[in-house]
Amino acid sequence: MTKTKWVGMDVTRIDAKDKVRGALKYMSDLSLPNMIHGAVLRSKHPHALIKKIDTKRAKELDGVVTVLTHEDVPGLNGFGIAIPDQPVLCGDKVRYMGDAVALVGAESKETAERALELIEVEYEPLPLVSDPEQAMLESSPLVHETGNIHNHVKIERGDVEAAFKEAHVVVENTYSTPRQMHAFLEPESGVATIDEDKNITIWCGGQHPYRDQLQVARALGMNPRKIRIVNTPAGGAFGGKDEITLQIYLALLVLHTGRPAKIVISREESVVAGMKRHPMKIYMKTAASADGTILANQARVVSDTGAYASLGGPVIGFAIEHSCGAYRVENVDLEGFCVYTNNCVAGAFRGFGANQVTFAVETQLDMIAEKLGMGKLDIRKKNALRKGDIAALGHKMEASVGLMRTLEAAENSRLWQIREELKAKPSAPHKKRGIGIACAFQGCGLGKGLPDYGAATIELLPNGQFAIGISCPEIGQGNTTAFVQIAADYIKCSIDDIVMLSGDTGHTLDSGTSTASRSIYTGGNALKLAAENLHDAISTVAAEILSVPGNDIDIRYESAVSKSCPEKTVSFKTIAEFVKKKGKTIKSEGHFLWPVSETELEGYVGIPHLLYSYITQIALVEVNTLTGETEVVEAVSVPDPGKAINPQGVEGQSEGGVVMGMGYALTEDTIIEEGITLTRNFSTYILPTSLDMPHKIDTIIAEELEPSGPFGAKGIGEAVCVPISPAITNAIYDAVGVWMKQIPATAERVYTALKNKEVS
Amino acid sequence: MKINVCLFGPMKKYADKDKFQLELEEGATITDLLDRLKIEDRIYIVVLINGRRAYDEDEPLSDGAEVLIMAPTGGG
Amino acid sequence: MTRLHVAIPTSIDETLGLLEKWGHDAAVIAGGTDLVVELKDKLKSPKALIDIGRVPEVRGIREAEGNHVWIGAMSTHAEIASSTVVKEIAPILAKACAQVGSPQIRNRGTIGGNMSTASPAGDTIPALYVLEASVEIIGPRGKRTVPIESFFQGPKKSALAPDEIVLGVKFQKLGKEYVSFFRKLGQRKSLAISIVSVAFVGKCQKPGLFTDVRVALGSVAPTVVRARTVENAIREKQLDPKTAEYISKLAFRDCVPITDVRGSKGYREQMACNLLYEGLLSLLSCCEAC
Repeated sequence: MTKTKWVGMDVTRIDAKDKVRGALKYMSDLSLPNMIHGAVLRSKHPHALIKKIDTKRAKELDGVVTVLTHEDVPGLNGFGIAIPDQPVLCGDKVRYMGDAVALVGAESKETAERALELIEVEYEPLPLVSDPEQAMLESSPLVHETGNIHNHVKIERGDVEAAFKEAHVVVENTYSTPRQMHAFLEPESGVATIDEDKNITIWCGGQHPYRDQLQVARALGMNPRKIRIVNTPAGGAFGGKDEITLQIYLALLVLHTGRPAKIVISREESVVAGMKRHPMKIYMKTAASADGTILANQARVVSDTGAYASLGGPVIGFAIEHSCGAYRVENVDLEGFCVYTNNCVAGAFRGFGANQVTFAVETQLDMIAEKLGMGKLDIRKKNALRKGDIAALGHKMEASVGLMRTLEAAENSRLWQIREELKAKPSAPHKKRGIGIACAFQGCGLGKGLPDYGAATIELLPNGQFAIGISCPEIGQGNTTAFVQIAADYIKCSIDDIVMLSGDTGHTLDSGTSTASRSIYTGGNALKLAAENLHDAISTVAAEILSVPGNDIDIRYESAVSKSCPEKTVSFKTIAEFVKKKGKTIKSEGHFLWPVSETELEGYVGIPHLLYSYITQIALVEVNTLTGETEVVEAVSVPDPGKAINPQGVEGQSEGGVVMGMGYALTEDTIIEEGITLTRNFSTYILPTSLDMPHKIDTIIAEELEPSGPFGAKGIGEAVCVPISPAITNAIYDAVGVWMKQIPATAERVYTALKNKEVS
Repeated sequence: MKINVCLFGPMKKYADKDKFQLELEEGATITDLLDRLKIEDRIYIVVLINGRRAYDEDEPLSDGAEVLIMAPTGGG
Repeated sequence: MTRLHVAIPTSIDETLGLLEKWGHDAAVIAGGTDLVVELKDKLKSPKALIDIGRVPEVRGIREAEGNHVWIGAMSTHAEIASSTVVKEIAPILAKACAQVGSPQIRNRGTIGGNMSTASPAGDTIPALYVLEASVEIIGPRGKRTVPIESFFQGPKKSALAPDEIVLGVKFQKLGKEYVSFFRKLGQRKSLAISIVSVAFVGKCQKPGLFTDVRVALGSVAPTVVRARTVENAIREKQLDPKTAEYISKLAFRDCVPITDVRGSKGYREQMACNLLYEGLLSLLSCCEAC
């Protein structure tokens, strides 16, 4: 591997100073002169026909500038990454409480909110469907005319029935998982402007500015090039801002009023209207031989995508791809349904369907190990995918596979080594301690059948610095810092001489999404190509300055050197000045297209993947047998991100992931009953606080370099929050002997399970 | 000139095959190609030429170009 | 924009005058940790806020006559939790205050506010119950003192008339022979509304033997309640872990909980028992140690 000066170092985040000083501007901090304030009227019913919308009284209110309805959407009245099934503004029907019916622009936020109360909407309530399994029945009310099953995936390989017959042990269970909320720091918000030529600029937290641009253009019936989207910084996203949030509303307001506009929604509105993680019901039957080899896995997964599809289709595909865990399984029968209901919309969320099925399969594995009297780590080693293996969908593991490396590092970790000693010392006699381990893999990139492209630009600035542009927004994950490190090593300059441009269709080329654990790999590879082109251009100029032939130039750190006459050197700075004097510029582009798996699954896109990140996580828990409370005392997280571009950044992702996965396992759920959200803010939606965090989280980075990645990097943004959840529930079993098949494993659920166990 | 076309996702409906070669006149642009394929979605569309996203539908194509036509997408 | 009048009186008389002037349109604000949320959710829409933060008569923590301690209504949870007087003579109240919300809420929220909100889940209230505190109320008709149990009349309902405010709360000092515990079960370790809370005060005759037993339960009834059944069972009985477990199981008799997003009725009943048992166990093991 290439020797690096910046890659692999704990470089301070480029946005650290501004964040710490409060100088960094989030979208909700932005204000523009003469700006109007927008507010969205949400539905009053989870499922109803709209008979009439009367905006007269609202329009008459002093200070109201505009009141818009479905009639004011000039283009397609719909949005949705995969299919535009969600109306921008509903005209005939509402399908969940978050549906938008009207949009107000007013001189103040208070007036806009008052005006919402004056809009008269006549509804005719319809029977609703809130349970996805019921939604699949013929007799159920239809959320969409096309039927309630949005997507169906079925993958069969080998013969599961035969395997179940010959197996030494078969375990069969049904699991259910919660509607986790992204709970990003900044609720959906943004500002927009329009100029005399009707060019619109929108600053709004997002994860793919170029796709937002096309979705806005589609709704406005406008040329996309007249719309500029800025997404950085996103104020946190975790997948929750992958879909359109407020961009179209902002565009409509500026289009209809000619004035700048701002919308900031409250946390409560965000909870009701915003995206969530798909709740899933997972039936799973797994068979193993006496030596612990997994022989077969059968799964039936029903996923609740709520009122609209968003990325529910790809999520169920991804869930099925990951439903056998990071293990070799020869006989599979895997079926998934993505179903519409009148619940809150579910879409992309860190892990993208892997979290739910990993919870199921990692519990199954522990149950098998338990029945066989086998070690929990041993059964994982026994079945772990290695390079060249055939994975569950029948595809070959062609890229780097670091699972064994993560398992070995986990085994050697302090926590695993002294686990018995730690388990023996609970803080009170009625508290019991247990240890749990789980593994996961996480597909990187968009997968087969979805061309995954990206681009980077590099410009030599007149002062000798370099401006690099990658559109994948900074959503807090630290990709911009990693890009700066990668660029500095490819360009051969100091990180202090890099100016980062990100998340802006006005200043960067389309690099795709900040999702799918893909931005480092995509941006890094595009930077590599851009740097090669940059070096060619620099060499030409350097040759001219040094009066040597073009092919005689070698690029060294911050300078170009004559190969034949090494005392002839010229610095990047001098080259920049020379170019400036000539009235020219040096700009380069790099365009990258992801490699894909050779396996094609007829009829499916997005699966399988070629590249995966791998991870093993361990949790030590203490369960209070009198209350059912579970405390995660310590955790170990062993990710394989490929090359860790910024190890401290990986640690940050890892620790954040552990806590997010812990919240998923123990407390977090957006509870919706009959279409109505009961947990409307953070007093009832229970996120872990700093006091709930494990006393210690050790991150051990197990790099399995990926030859196709920039300096060997893959991606790690998602995997870090996945196996920790079953590691925690497996630890609860180890502590008190109850299998938690429903998460979150709240104190009440654990306590109830303990009581039921006593009775039986 | 010969253009190699590859259709993805919802764009597949505009041809019998997902991958095929087309003969276009010298100087033909992306618009000409989309017209030829009778592709109606002109806004929510991404065209990649030799792995590079094209932003301007007036961009001329060159002989042997690999053209990928898709709708924007997402995934994990 | 809706205008909200904010008055900042500097004496009780001025405060009472303002209350009279604004009548039902007034809301008294102390720390604002409950009121601001209610304003945001439009549960209340007063025309005037009367900020009592600069009223000297509702401030301070001091020893009062008759071996009492007096705590001004404006005392924040943080002040009470760190008060040397409170920590010494009523550690249970200091502990309860230390478990309210988060540091930010403890720095703003006040004991008077916690009482005035009259939530059955108010964290300081069970402690005040077992301290058998009395609430000093002041209004246009003068000052009156109400026993803590009569102050609370239901969820968000107190004996406070709209033109009255809480002046302070006082209770008798407990001797050194008193032991206590406060245990709150929340959905997480901070920023948690209690599912159940238990406060216990007992005069320890010898390890495991308590006279003057007082137990209060939070979040299991329309108001915080004294657990008389349990108190009677514990009083003057020699406890060991087994009897403690048995007696604790009676706590459900003192509860009439509801089911909500935080917990079911059944779980709350069991937790009232188990938190009491957990607390008694800790007292027993502590007694053994001394």
